[in-house]
Order: sequence, then structure tokens, then C-alpha cells
Amino acid sequence: MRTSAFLKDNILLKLLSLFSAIVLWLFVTLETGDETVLPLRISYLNVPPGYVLRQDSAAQPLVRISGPRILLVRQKWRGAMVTLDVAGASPGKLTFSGLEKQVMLVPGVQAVNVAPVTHESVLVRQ
Amino acid sequence: MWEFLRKTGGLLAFADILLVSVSIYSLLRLTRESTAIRILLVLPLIIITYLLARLIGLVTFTWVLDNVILSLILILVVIFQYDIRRALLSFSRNRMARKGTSDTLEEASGAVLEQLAVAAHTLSERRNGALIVIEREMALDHFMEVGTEIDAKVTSELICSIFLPYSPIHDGAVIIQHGKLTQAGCFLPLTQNPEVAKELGTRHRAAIGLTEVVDALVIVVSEETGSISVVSGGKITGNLEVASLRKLLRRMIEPRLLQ
Repeated sequence: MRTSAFLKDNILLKLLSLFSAIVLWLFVTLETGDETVLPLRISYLNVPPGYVLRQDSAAQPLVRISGPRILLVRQKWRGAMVTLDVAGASPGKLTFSGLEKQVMLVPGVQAVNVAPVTHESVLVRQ
Repeated sequence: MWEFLRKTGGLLAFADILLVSVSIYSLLRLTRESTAIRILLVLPLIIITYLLARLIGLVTFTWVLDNVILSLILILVVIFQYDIRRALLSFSRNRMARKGTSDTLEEASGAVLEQLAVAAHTLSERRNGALIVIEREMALDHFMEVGTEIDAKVTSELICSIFLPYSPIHDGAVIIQHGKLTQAGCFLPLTQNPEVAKELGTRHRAAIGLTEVVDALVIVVSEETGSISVVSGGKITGNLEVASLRKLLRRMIEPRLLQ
């Protein structure tokens, strides 16, 4: 009886305080730094006419990214993508490394690493 | 969602939220309810808008809100300065009652209140404006820096003579503390509330302004109409007859506060 009277007293202020605390907690939690892993889409630029690039391995490259949780959510919506320039490449096996430096990310998000570390493709005549 | 809750501490997160909401509630209890509700409506709105803007990627709007949030404490202090002042002043409460039996307390406080009622009535008949502040739980020392120290027994004759138009201390308020007239010619803060009726003069505005920040009770006698009003908690009760003034004073002032 006493507990219910205590809860009912100033109920609007109590509910609003709880709501504010939830919003504040969300704010702090979403601004806290975290890490997540996303599949990395790869696209190629300046592919010589009449040639195509075939991925050498079937495994999808993954990128580990870090930043405030709210920006990681935004990055998940957009997905992670890297564009590789193959201008002047000769037909055959192409190996790309240091992909984490080229991943296009939302400002405030950093790429920690890409697995596998190198990406291999084969340039073949169409 | 569960993953998010697990990552952010699960049960600990609930405890965290509960603790913060109790802290917010306790802090806001010190301010007036209307002010507290305004803070609680504006603050989450700003934060939610900020989070949404950041999520969508509105760079400039995020930057603006980011700066607003950074200066939020300062902004709140400026907007709610009177409420904060009131809250801080409430810590200096006069909880110390002097020794005495309840009968003698009743008798002495009754005599003080009677003198105040008679003084208000006389001043009202003479159309002499007056501002009489009666200290309650919250100390009024902060408002006594300007003024003339008197430290005398409360009598209607003394109050009437202070508020004679030719008296050098008739401008300003007299302050009654612990059943004694301690100070005269004190200046009180004017209310900044835009909803206060325009026909109210400086005396009434000062009475409202003071009672917005402390819990004192103020008797105002209008110079223009001779009407007697009592102001408490920023609210005015006007056109009082001497009998209703007596009744109101007895109801609103505990005998121990006049000792």
C-alpha cells in the first residue's frame, strides 16, 4: 500500500526522470567506442577493355572496423566497400594488400584490419 | 537488441539507468515542478534529435547539436538560475528552533502576527505602501546586505513609522526574523515572470520575485489602492481584509519560526 502510494506520488516527474535516464544511457552507450566486422565489397576501377577480373578465392573478405557504436550502426546500413584501381595491370594474378587503408568509411569510423590480409584476383580476357 | 543489451552490461545497464533516474529525480525535486518538467521535456528531445542526426549523417546539424550538448550545463544554469539559487538557498534552512514551551511559543508568535496585522491595516487606511517580509525556513541573509539594521521588537507603531513617506528607509522592505524586526530598507529581486499582471507595481513584483527564490512570506500594502496582499511561492493573494490576513498569517507561519 505504502509502496504504491510512494510510486504514485509525483508520478509524471518520476516517469520523465526515468525516460531522461534511458535517453541519457542510450546517448552514452551509443557514443562509446566499439568494434564490429563487416563483409567487404570489392569493386575495380580502370579495368582494361576486353578484360574481366575473377576473384581467386571464394572467401568473402571481411573488414574489422572501430568507432562510436552509433556510427558503426550507420556503417552497417551502408556496408563497407573498397575500390581497387587496376590501371596498367597485365593479365594474370593480381595481389592487393593494405586494403584497410582504402576502405570507404563514414567519418569517425576506422578500419582496424582486413582478413585475409591480401586480396588476390585474376585478370583474364573476356 | 538482446545482443546490444548483453554488450552494454545487461542487468548492470538496468541498475545504471535506475540510479541515474533517481539522481535526476532527486536533483529536479529541488526546483519547481513546472521547471523540472520543462527540463525533462527539452533535454531528451535534444539528445534524441542529436542521435538521429548522427545516425542519418546530417553533418552540420550534428555539429550544431554537438556544441549545444557540450554547453548544455552552462545553458541550463543560465536559464534556470533562479531555481538553482532557490535550491541552493534551501540548504541553509533555519531548522533551529529556540527553546520554549509550546504555549509560550503560541503566545509570542500570536503577538507578533497581531502586530503585523494591525500595522498592515493602519498602513492600508493611510495608503502608505509597505513591504513586510517574514522569514520562514530559508535564510534571508543574502537579501540583507543592503539595508539598515534595526533589531527591534515587532510593533505596529514601528512598522508604520518606517513606512511613513518621509522616512529615509520607507523605500524597500522590512525583514522579520525569529519574531524580531531585524532590517529595513532592503532591496528585493524583481520577478522576471512575463505572466505577472501588468497592473502590478514594483512592490508587488519585488514580493513575487523574492518568494520565487525563497520560501518567505511577504505582506504588501499598495500605495495606490491601499489593498493588502500576501505573497508566497510566487503567488499573490490580494484584497485581504484584516481578519482574513490574520487567519492567513496564522495558517502559513508556524509559531516556532517567530521565536
